[in-house]
Amino acid sequence: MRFAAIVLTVLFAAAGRSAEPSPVRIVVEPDVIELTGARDRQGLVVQAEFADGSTRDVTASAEMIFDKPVATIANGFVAPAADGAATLHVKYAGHSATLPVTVRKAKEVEPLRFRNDVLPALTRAGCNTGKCHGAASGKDGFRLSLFGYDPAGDHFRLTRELSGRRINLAAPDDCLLLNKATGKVPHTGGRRLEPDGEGYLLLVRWLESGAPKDPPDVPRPTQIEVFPREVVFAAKGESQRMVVRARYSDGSDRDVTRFTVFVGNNDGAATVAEDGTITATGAGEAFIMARFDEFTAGTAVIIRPGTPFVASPTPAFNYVDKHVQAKLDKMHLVQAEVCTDEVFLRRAYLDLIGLLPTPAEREKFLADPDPEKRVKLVDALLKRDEFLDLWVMKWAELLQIRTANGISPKGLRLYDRWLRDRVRAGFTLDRIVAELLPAAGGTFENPAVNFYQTETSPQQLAENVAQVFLGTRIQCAQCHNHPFDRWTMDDYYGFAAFFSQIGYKNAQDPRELTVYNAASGEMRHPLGDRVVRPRFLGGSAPKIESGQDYRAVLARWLSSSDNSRFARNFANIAWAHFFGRGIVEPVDDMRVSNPPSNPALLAALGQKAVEYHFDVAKLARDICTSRTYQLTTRRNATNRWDERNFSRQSPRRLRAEVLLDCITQVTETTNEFPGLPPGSRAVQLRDGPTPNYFLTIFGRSTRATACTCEVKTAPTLSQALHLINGETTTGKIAEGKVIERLLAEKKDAKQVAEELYLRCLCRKPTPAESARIAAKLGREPDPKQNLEDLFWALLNTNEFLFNH
Amino acid sequence: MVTVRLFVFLAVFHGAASAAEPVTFAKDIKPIFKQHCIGCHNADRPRGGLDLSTMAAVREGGTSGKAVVSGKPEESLLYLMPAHLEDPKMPPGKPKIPQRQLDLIRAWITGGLVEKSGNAPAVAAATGGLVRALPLPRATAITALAVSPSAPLVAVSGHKQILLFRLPTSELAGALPFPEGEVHVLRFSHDGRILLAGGGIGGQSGKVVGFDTESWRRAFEVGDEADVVLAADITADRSKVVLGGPGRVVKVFSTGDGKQLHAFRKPTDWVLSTSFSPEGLLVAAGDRFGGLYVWEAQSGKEFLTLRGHTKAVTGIAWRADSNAFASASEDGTIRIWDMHTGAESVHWQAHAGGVLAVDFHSGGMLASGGRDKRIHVWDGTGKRIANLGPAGDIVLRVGFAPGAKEVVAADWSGEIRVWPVAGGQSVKLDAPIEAKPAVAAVIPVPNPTPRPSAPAAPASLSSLRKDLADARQAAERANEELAAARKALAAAKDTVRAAEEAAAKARTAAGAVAALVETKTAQAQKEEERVRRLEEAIAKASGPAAGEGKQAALKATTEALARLNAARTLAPDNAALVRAIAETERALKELAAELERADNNTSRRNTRIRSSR
Repeated sequence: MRFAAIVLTVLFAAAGRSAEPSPVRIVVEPDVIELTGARDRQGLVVQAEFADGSTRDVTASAEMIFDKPVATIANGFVAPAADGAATLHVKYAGHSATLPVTVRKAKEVEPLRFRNDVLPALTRAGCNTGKCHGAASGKDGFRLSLFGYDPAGDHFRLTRELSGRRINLAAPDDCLLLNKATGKVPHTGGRRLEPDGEGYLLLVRWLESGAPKDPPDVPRPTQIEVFPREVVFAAKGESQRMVVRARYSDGSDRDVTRFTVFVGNNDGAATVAEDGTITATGAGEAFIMARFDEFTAGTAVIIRPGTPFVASPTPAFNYVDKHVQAKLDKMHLVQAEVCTDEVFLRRAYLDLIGLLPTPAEREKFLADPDPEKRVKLVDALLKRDEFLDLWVMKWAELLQIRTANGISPKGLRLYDRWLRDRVRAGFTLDRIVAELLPAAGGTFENPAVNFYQTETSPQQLAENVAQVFLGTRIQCAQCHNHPFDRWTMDDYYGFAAFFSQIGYKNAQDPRELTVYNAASGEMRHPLGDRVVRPRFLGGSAPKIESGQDYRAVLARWLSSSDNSRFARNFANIAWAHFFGRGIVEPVDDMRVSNPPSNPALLAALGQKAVEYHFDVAKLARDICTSRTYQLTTRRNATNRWDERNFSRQSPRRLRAEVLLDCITQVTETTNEFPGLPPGSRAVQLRDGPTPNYFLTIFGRSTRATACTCEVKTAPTLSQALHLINGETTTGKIAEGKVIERLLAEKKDAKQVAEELYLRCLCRKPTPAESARIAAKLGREPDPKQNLEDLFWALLNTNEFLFNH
Repeated sequence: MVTVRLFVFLAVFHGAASAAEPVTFAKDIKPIFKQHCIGCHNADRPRGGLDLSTMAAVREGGTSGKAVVSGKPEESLLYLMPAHLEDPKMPPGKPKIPQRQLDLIRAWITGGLVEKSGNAPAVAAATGGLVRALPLPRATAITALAVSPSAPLVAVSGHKQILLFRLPTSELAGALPFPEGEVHVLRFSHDGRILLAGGGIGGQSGKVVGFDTESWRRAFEVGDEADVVLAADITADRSKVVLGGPGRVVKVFSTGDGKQLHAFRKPTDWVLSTSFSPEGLLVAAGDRFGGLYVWEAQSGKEFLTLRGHTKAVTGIAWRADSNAFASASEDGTIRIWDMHTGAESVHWQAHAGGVLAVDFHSGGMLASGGRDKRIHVWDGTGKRIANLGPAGDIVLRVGFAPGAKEVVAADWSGEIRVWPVAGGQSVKLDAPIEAKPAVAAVIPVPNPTPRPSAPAAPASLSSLRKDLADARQAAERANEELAAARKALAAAKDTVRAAEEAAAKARTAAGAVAALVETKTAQAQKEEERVRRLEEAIAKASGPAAGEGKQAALKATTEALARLNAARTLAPDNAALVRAIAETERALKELAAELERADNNTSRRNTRIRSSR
């Protein structure tokens, strides 16, 4: 008898949902509910968390009970019933949670407001998107501000721009606005509102109330919160509801989920429906962005592959690995193996100094029995001048050091020298910024002021500073609030105001320009033409004494320790150099809707950056000695699809300058660059647009903009053709006479072939390769031609062109 | 059941469509074209060369050839394209037009392209007359105003009607119905014998109607626009009407036969104002972009393009001698244009924020109103004679009363006031308002049904069925083992050791069963996944199908319950079994409730479909 009972219980468990382990806890969000007014509602999200870290939406099956009847609940939505306070008890699978509920004005219907009721309905219906009436010139004669950034203007355009056309107070439900929106009359945008739907009724009731302008004290939304904050789906097919709550300037809050626009960034992993329901579609990661009013927030979603996963802990070499491993465990990814010494050697050389290890250096490294030899190598490379050359090049790209806008060759030489001297003298980025931003004087006398000649408009300068030093693109906010980020036009013009008092005058030398603090001039907001005071991007408005240089104030804030974005951007740039992609990618596009793939890692690196006073060498040491940096590029079964979590190294094509330097190095030739001494390396170039065919087709930065996307490593046909037929390979092989010299050193052809392998690929040929080479060499009496062909072939291999 | 209902609907339609009255272009087809097609296929800018605004144009076809073949809908692109039987599908990028309308188009083509039925009531030419004004639920912006030059009468726009007030008593004389839509322009002819009204339904239709001010009957109707008429005027001899609107075309019609005489395509934006010169030789029109043009009314030749306004031209008023006119603009200025020199003679800043209306009195004075909520009176050179106001809101229309002692002005809030030019109290003209008791302004807040995170109920239930069958089998097997154990116990009652052996044997058997359970669990999970996918597919299919899925689940659950009960007879006091039965019964109840809900939804949807038709 007892046996039968056991069997049945087990089977029942298997049949129902409870086949999986029961949750370790439940999380109910939001954790406080305040309802004000009869129309107020608040959605709840109940998330069960399991021992393996996965989460599940159990809102629908959780039990919810109030201890006092102040509110009702259906489908996870709390609605007011009577004024008062109560406690909501939420129970699921033996776990419980309580949250306080306060209800005010349960029977009062508050008047509808344009900004807080009407505009959200229009935005939700898609009326003011960029391809509809939100376009700069509107659509079919009717314009709205993009995503409602200009509520007063939108109110005007709806009511009074063409009086009597769009709305009709005598017949609210029969006016052009609603006839178009419901498709009752032909509408290019089709039906956007359901008759008698909430959006429709909001508009009708507002029109019935006389389409009033909002009173000046109408509460403004001040922030939005998105629940749940994090989702870890155990497998595809699962779903999760989202709730968005807006907080207002009067302290109230509202559930605005139904007026929020949801956008996902990776439909291959998770999609989001209009009502905010996320559905997992495949293994991977997605960021679900929610936009309401001028705010953007989001939820990070992880979808595990759903296959059995056993965490295989690997030793952390330093803090970097700890954070990377934590993320990989969360994603159910297994890290790749650590690469061989040979691979590491080549990788570290290319990344740290932009050159290949010589066969002798290779020999020495491989022979070293010290278990810490990789750290030793990194330390040695960091001390070399070539390391600094690489970083001078990178900063020069970001500062757009180039002959443009009337910068004379002399000015350019001085500007380059200024930066180079400082980097060589051990100036870290914060000190460079401190000199650069407030720079004043002649472009010859103080070359840093060339920064203000490269770009001259306050807006462009502000955009560049934001992009280069904060990794933030604020360009969108020049004309409208950023649709995918937190930046508003107020933020944009507030930041641009720091550059509104720059004075320019001619110096004695006609090639020179003098930049000074004019101590006057104002930034004006295009909406309403009001004066905008300087305000730090995402920060406060500083008190500035009259006559004080705005730029000096900005420079102090920028690299100060309380501006974590400067540090994180710096860390991200450094990281991207060693992995081919940033923790935030694109590197200079940090925004709410483009979150870091590993926030903890970025935060840790940012913190270290501050600790190191933005010394790139110290940060590079941490990165290069981490296990994560030393992983092979080989994929395993679990990390095949992973591109963003650093579960393995990725093969990266050498950037144009480094590639040219490497070809030059292995062929023992030199390059001539205008304005540089013979024998200079391409990474030492001063001027962005220096003419050089090879560099141009391999995508070097012309420094025309401050965007990191100026450096291109994408393959093109010209690249392939040039490597096959061009001067840089065949010409340099002939010019360098490496093979003749090696043969003359009485090495036999086989040894020369091996030497070429060591030079180019940092490894000996495999037995299979050796056999084929031997077969080829054996046939001809004079090996030179064949060896040159081999050399040429090696320079054309991906193994040579890539760092891996 | 659902299919039956749908069938009934269709039958009703066909009944309606094939009723005795033939489907005609005027009655049935044109409204469809207006709703879906005329935005592109209109006379002004026919897309693909096809104009669907008149029967003649429809017969003509477009660049793709004939649009209709009488009697043969299968060969008529006009049917095939909107029916999505031929590419390109029409209307482009939008859902198919309702089947009912497609059926009508089909029936119209089959029926031989009847234009209008013989006994259709003749256009309202003879009908009309002054009626009692219909009160409005609340005041709204006054979009049109005209003061009669020959009688103490003021005409203003009401909702789908024209209100007539008597001066100086301010009493409401009556109303002229304007079922064509909202009135956007009102003009009296110079002799006051015709009141011209233009307007329509935004985004759909527009028309100009002339009312005889003696009888208040409709004297003529001209224009058949795809959007409202925003501007119109009539010549002093009442022979021509000019109109314009969002279509960007200024059209001149003959009032005698309603024929279009000229179409001027010069404006680059909506035409907001147009006016004939008093002697009738010239016609001027201004657009929303600031463009201002003059043509010869008789020949249709372009006469002048006047550059100066930087924003929309909102009003045009001619001087009595026809040698000059004033234009008002959103750029805040009034400009006077000399027709002899073809240039601006003077301009001045009239209203901050924009001038919205201007009138030119035969005595040489100008009146204007604008966004500063004020009404100004000027002499012909821009010297201000009077500054009146403020009005309740931005001033939309102004007109001199005969004698120019007063200015009548109407504003956005719906107020109409007569302002003495010399100053003093203004007099209000009261439009009839009958405020309806406020509806309980509760707007339902949608309460979305959350989607289950785990596989839906039917899926787990049907897999439950399989598992229950397995469970029964396993239970039976276990019972057999148990019986065997009992037998062994009985047989070896004398020796405890023998009994222990038997018990050990039973235990081993249980282990085997447990292993079996594990395999079954894995199978059940697989099955669950398969069923879930199936369910998804079903959910994607239509509602009724999903309902059928639920029906099946209901049946399956009922069966499962029966089997459980059968199992219970085998093991009457098995606690797990009792629990299982209770759970299954509950599931059954839930499922039944859900089915009922689904059924309700279906009938609601059907009601919606019915009402939308």
